[in-house]
Amino acid sequence: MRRTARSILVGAALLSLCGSIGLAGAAERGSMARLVEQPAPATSAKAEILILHATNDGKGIDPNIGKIPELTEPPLSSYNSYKLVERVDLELVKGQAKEKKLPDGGKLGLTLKEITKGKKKDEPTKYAITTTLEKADGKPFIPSMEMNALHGKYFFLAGPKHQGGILVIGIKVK
Amino acid sequence: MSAPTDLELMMYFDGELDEPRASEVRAFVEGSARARQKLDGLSLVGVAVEERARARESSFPDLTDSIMARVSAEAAGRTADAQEPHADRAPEAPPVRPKPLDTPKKLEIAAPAANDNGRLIFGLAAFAAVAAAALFMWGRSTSQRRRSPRAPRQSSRPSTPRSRPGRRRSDLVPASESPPSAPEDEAPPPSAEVAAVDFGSRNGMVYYVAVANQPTTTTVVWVRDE
Repeated sequence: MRRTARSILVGAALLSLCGSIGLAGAAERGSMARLVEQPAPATSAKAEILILHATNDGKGIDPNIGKIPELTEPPLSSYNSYKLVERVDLELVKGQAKEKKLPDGGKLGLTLKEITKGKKKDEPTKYAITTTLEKADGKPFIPSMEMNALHGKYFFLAGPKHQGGILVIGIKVK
Repeated sequence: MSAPTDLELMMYFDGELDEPRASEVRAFVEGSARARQKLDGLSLVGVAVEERARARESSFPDLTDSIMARVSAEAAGRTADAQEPHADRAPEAPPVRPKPLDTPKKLEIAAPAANDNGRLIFGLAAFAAVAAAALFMWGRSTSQRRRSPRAPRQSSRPSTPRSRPGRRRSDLVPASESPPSAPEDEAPPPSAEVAAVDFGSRNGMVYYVAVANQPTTTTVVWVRDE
């Protein structure tokens, strides 16, 4: 009777040890498999640049702009008219600065620093971007701004004076 | 002098009352017939209790005496066994051995066997389980380290519209250092987190615009062109 109990105990101990080693191995193999399946990290992204001219001339929002409800919310609603000046795509490559000339002669500078994929399924990709704005005379308007932009979401820079209004620049990285 | 209570009378009777109260009670008892009656009653009760205790004591056998009797009887029996080879001695009556105590039978079962390795086996099983858990955790942590060699630096503090005065480049400060004006749990994430901003000599503000039916707020950086 006692011998049987001892045999059962020894067997259970060995089984638990073997099972745990197997589990650890499986976890390791699973992680290796995921490593193999992971694609190479992205090094480039596309930025959609939306250059708008904001005035208070009462013409409303240019239908070419599309549906951007933020234009009717403060603080952008302090101007009642928005006209689409230019819509352009910039190819951002990690570590390389890209520039876009603005209608007032100034320059918008964008540098992609990092791309971070969401860890969860519903977590969006984030893009670390350094943004600069220069006036036409070459003086910095926004010397430096580091942002973590969500994939496919606009953020706006506003302020440079232009033809009785201001320039509003929307940037969407995707 | 106040009349003693029944409790004080009992303590006085037992000699447990401290001075000067004991003297006061003694004087009171000498002058009070009722108090003396109470003391007499206490005395009677004491005698009765003492007699009762003696009666009970005599009804119980003395355990020490019975043990000593059994021990001496056993010793006498051994002596008789040792002297058995002497033929000249007359045979004696068999010694009265003390009745063995009623020990529970469980004692025999509970006695550990010389080759019982139950504890060792339990210990080994516990060690195996701990080693298994450690191996499993080690395997998982290693795989996670390989998957994310370094965590990206990012600010995760969304906030509601706030203003930020102009700063020189040398004063570049992460925007996340300023406390958010709304609890983090309630504010939706911004479309772009401003990790650090330098407005130079100008005044600038960072707004987070909430739009209905959108899970995120929209970041608007507004710089005054003066």
